[in-house]
Amino acid sequence: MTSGGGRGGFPCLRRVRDSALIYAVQLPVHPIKVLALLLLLTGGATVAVPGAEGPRQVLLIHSFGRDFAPFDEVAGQFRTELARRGSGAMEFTEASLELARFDGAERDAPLLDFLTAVFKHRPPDLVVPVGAPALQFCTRHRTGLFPGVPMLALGVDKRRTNDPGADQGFAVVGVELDLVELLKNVLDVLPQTREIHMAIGTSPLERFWESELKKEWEAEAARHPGLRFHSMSSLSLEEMTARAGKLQSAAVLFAGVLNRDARGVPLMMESGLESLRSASSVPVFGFSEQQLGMGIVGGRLTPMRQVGIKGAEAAARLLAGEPVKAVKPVFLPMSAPVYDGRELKRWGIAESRLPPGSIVLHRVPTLWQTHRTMVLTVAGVIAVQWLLITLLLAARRRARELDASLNEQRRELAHLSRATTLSTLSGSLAHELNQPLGIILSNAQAAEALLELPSPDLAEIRSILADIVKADHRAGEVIKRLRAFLKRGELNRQPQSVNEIVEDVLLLAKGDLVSRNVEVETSLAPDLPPASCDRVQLQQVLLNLIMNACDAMNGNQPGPRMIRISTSHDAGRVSISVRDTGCGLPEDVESIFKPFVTSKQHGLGLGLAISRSIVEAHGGRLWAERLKNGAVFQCELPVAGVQS
Amino acid sequence: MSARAPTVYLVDDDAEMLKALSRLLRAKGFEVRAFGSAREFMASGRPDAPACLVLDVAMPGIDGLELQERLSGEGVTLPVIFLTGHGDIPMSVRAIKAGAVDFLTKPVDHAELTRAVSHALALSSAQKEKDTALAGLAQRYENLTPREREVFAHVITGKLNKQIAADLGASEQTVKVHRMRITAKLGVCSAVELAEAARKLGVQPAQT
Repeated sequence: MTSGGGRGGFPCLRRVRDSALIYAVQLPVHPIKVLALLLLLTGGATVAVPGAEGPRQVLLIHSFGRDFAPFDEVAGQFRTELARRGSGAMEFTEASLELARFDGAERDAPLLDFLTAVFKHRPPDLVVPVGAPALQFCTRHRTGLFPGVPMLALGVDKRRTNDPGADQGFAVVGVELDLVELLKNVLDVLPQTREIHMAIGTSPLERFWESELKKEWEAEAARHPGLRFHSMSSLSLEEMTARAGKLQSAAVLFAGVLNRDARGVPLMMESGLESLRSASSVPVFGFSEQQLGMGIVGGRLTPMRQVGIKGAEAAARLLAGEPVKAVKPVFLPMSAPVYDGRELKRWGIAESRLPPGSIVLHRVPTLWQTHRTMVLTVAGVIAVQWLLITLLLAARRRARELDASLNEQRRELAHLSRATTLSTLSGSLAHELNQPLGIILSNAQAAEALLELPSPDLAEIRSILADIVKADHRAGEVIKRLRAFLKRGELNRQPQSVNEIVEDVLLLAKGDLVSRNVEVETSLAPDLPPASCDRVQLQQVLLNLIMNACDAMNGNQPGPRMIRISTSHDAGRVSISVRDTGCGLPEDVESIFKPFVTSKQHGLGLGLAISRSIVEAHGGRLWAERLKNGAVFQCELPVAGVQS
Repeated sequence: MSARAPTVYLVDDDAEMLKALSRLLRAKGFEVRAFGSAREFMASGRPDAPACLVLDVAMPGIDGLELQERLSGEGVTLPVIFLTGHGDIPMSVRAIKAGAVDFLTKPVDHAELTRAVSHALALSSAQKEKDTALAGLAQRYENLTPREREVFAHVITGKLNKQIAADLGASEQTVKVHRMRITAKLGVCSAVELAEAARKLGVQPAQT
């Protein structure tokens, strides 16, 4: 009879109560076991509604088994909904036509016997075949098996009922599958598809659908030249999976009913689809709503859940006593287009391609949505760090600016001091410029006068012109010196001849020295090594010292006004000393180097402070000594090349 | 070594300036003697002919102003023209007060310099003439006998011959004769000129 035989061959019977599960045992039925069974059947009743005869017995007959798609969803919803809305307690007995995998009436016997035995004392109140095979089983044995019991066919497709209009003798809540719609699901979204590989199993039901699909799709394919269908029903799941992984871009997979593959391996709960989905290199399409979320792209799908719910409604009515005729057959059409957002994203299908009115489920939540807190925290940390960095950078820039502005101010001050000295020099400068100008003018006018003579002495005129040029250069030199002196430059340390600088300064100050009647004696060492210094700044220092000396000797009237300037070098240092015969220094000699300390009527008292700061910036020293008759200022600078 | 022609004496420590000014003045027809310092000039002896001095104020050692002071101390009446590159007012005031004829600023225009020099030389000439005249007068005064000098002193009081005779204890006729000789010797023509000569010579009227 069955393969296997013996105890293992019987169909499993599972009893669903709120919590009790019982497995049937093989016949012969042990009386005690039967009693126990019956006891449990009746004793395990839910809280009975007063007045009820006891719980209603609903017999569900599965085509494949409780957990095979797409009927598992139907049955599940049916049970839940019926238990919810049914008045009184419900008890469900579920039997499987596992034998339905094998065609033929002779396979039915064991199940028939079993069912008869189970419901010997009391037939069920409602028989619910789930799926067409179960329906066929029931109709085959209608007369022998629970003849008076109302029957409700659940989840069958319209085309499987012979004549929906006629009195079947049972109620139906099923589906109306539009296979062309399933094809359209693919072509709407991926119009460039050239191949559809169908993953379908080998049971009679699956074969039925395979042939239906081929029939209808090939008719439709006439409008899409180049479109080909390939059935994978002859392949095992492994082979299907392998092929799925190698498909090229113009192909898609179609997941039909896949409950038993070519090797006969049962595939419960869409496990076939699961395998295919993870391996597939192309999009996967399907037919039922339950597949959505398990890896199909989507489209119009059969609403199995609704079938279950509507089925429960019908069942409730039947259980309440309504005659079968009163319950009109219901075939639910396919749903409005619905898609899986994750699959759309995976295959790069833009939502703009979807038909209008589509619903997109399972949109991939963004990082924001899933990890809001973490994102906020991370963003917060980053923001704080960024802020800190910005602040630090700003602080650093500010410090640099301050430094730069400080330097700028120093330079300003030095410049100011120079300009002030210059104003005291202006008389001298005017003289320095007026000399060459006067020479030029007189020479030129002499030449003019000579040319008036009857025979001008041309040699003399030539000589005059040469002298004019000389004088012009002299004036230029004065200007140049003045400009260089006034230039607000950076500290430009170069090796300089200190002797030259002393002579330059004396030239600059000549006018003043002469007008103030100061005599200058120089004693410049002949082999003086160059000192590393900024020429202009050193000039400023020397000029300051010389002017101070002049001022100190202002009161020497009459009397010698003598400045002695000498240069020397010793041990890596160049020294300049400026000696005068003036009024001398105060006891606290260092005090004169302090800013704003001055003994002069007009003066800022900054000259020596600035001079010292300049010398020290060069790595040198500036100090003064009191003399019996006057003062001497000493300036030391490092020799160029010697580290100070 | 004195020159006869009116001479301009230049003193400036700037050699180029000295050369330029010499050229200019020579081209204008002046006789020029140039010196590089005050000391050099002073060592050269005093000019006889009319002359003027063009001095740079700012010179090392003895500057222009000091030289002027020294000259006037020696009684040398040489008109001084100052040249300066500074051009500040207190200096110019001081110079003018000290008797400078003019105070010019460098660079100096030839017309201005020529005018100043001509003027100074004219002054010098006039002065020279005066000096010469006075020297001549002084010489002639020396020729008067003591008695004539005495009479001269009385004559310039303006008294009548009769009175002078009475003061001197001589006759009126004698006084008249003396008076005639004095006038001739001194080379004057009238009583007024006599009085002027006396003034020039610094002869005091006799006190009675």
